[in-house]
Amino acid sequence: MVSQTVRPDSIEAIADLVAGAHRVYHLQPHPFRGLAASAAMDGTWLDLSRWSGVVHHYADDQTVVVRAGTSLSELQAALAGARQTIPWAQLDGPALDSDITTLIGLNLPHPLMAQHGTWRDWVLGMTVVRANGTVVKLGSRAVKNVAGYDGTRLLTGSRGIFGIVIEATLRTYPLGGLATLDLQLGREDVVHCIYRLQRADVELECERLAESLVAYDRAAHTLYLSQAVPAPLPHAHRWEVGKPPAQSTAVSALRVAMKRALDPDDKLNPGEYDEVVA
Amino acid sequence: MGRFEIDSLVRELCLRPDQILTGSAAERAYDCDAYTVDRSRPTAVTLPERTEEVAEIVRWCVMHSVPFTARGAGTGLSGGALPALGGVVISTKRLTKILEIDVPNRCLLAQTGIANRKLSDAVAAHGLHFAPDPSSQNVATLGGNIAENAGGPHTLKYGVTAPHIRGCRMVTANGEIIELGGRNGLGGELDFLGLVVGSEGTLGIVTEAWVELTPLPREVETALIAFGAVRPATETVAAIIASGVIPAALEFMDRGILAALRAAFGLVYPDGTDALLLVECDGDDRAQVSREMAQVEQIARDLGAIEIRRAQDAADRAKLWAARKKGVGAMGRLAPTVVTHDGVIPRSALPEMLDAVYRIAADHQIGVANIFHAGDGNLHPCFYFDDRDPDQIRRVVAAGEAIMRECIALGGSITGEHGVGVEKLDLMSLMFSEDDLAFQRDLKRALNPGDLCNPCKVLPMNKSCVEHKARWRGTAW
Repeated sequence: MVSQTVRPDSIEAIADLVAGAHRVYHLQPHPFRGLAASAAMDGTWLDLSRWSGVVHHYADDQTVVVRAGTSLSELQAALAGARQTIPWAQLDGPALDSDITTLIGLNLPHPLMAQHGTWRDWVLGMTVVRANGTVVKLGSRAVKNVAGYDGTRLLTGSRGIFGIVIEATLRTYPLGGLATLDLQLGREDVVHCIYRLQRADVELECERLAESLVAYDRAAHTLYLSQAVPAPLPHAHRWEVGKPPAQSTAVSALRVAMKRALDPDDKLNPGEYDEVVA
Repeated sequence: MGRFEIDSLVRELCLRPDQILTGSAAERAYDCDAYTVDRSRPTAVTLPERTEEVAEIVRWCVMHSVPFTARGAGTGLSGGALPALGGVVISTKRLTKILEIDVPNRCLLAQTGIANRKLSDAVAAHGLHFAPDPSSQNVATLGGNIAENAGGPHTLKYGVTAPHIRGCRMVTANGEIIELGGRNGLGGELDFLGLVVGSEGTLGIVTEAWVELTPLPREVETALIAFGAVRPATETVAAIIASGVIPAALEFMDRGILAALRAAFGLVYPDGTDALLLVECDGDDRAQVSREMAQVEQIARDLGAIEIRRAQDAADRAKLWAARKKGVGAMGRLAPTVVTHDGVIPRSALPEMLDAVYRIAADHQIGVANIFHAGDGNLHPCFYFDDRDPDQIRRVVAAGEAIMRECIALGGSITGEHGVGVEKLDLMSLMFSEDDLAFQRDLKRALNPGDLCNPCKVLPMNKSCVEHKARWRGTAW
């Protein structure tokens, strides 16, 4: 099979395409993905750029329904008219114009996470195309909901391996209520590693890693570094350019079991976690 | 499961005799939780004291194909702890230790049979607390909160249980002990923890959890706002949310609740009050908290509030909260039986939804009172009736379903915090398509392939559950 890029413009077209495909890659290129493994493989590259736009902004409820091919900047511009926003902040870099499905898939730390949470907190509901091409809805538009299993939290940050998020219902926040960044800036450089520590460890690590410190988020006790951390501390978490985040043995076993249940042919974004399996 | 299996259970497990309860008294005591319409007796009740003992019991059950169901304090309102197919109840009653308190990193590790309130009590001196605060928090357990992803009055600002759980130690449905997340939360790991929280004890048994501790706010302002009609109160809620102010709590009570409070506790509210809002704003910056409360009060006045009482001190605040805390208990004065429903709607639809609740109750000739987390759009219509009359029960069930249909039509959900349990199994298909449910079934199958772990919950019936359902129904049916 030869790689091809497709740009469907309807749910039906996406679903048909996925049902008939052998392998489907559907997150946009991003520095914090381990792209090498995926890029070597043949399959269908699903570009969701023609499946974009805000479906409805329920400004009074502070929720928005958005097609997942919408770029974050386009979504923010649409929300700004009602003085609302998705409380995502970033250091300089290419992430801003990723589409929503990629941002949900990666769920990276960001400098407002301590104050306003991450995509896991903002996603109230999603429409997902499964590996077999069926279209399913998870969650609802209410801000509180415990009906059934919360697949939204599992799919957020799962790098697209369990399903393709094609529409999301998100919480929005008043622009006026946005927290100010609690950042101490270091050297101007590209971030290669995000390093989240325990609160009690952070001051000493700041000193140890001063040479590569791009920014220190005091509220989330997270360091943004220009290179990988030598000898990370216990209980710390790392996100590194070009690598999938580490998974514990237990989580890796659950991932395999879940993949078998949801995508037994390993059709969706194969290779995202290859490094860890190996 | 019969006598032979019980003997084998006692013989094969390394539990002391006082850790296994059998016989009719135990069967009756554990045949339901706080949702009493459906009941099913367990064959044996076990009282493990360590995670390893829980794992041993689960492995025994799996080996003998015996269903098992975890149970905390039994305060659940949807039948989540009901041993639907009998078998073994695994009680967390003796898993009550706090194992480590880590003040610098604002977290603690506790066994999951501990009462919610005790977590906050243990760290109050450090100016910290465990934020999820279900009304049953004096007895409801951490494990039950995790199973149901419990909410509470302060959920509006602080969130439900899920974001406050950093990690857990869990016995899987096949008896393995695994850890998800940990002291410092998840990092970039796949969020199986988020799937387990709120899974109603069907994906394994969480025996220990790292919980997030939240600093207590330095400044708190509380006000009780009276309205002469329901509509301006619900419009005030919608307007507060739309303004962007996020109070710590925003609770609603109607005339039915006020009548019950008057009858039960002699609490009196201004003449002509038809609805009350209890609003709390908190934070560390006094000026900002005052500004937020002033904004709330202005919105309420503009929409026709007839009286606003602001708490002057902590004792005064406790008095204002008395209405909310005692409201459901006071309902016992109105009728022999009260059924509390739990539905959610987008908050802007609150005025329309509450009109529908009163209309549906009137159509079904049932008394209704409302006391709920208005800021979250989480309704709790309380039907009061006499459960000795089967016709009244049928009308209550029909009215409940009508309310749920309305919630779904408005873009909401059939449960915001009580869970599906067995109570709402039949309503899941109102909210989800067959394809949606198939996806959820696959999620469940990945972690609980044999379906022995708390069977017949969350997702509509498999065949064996349908066969048993007639037996669950209480005497009134």
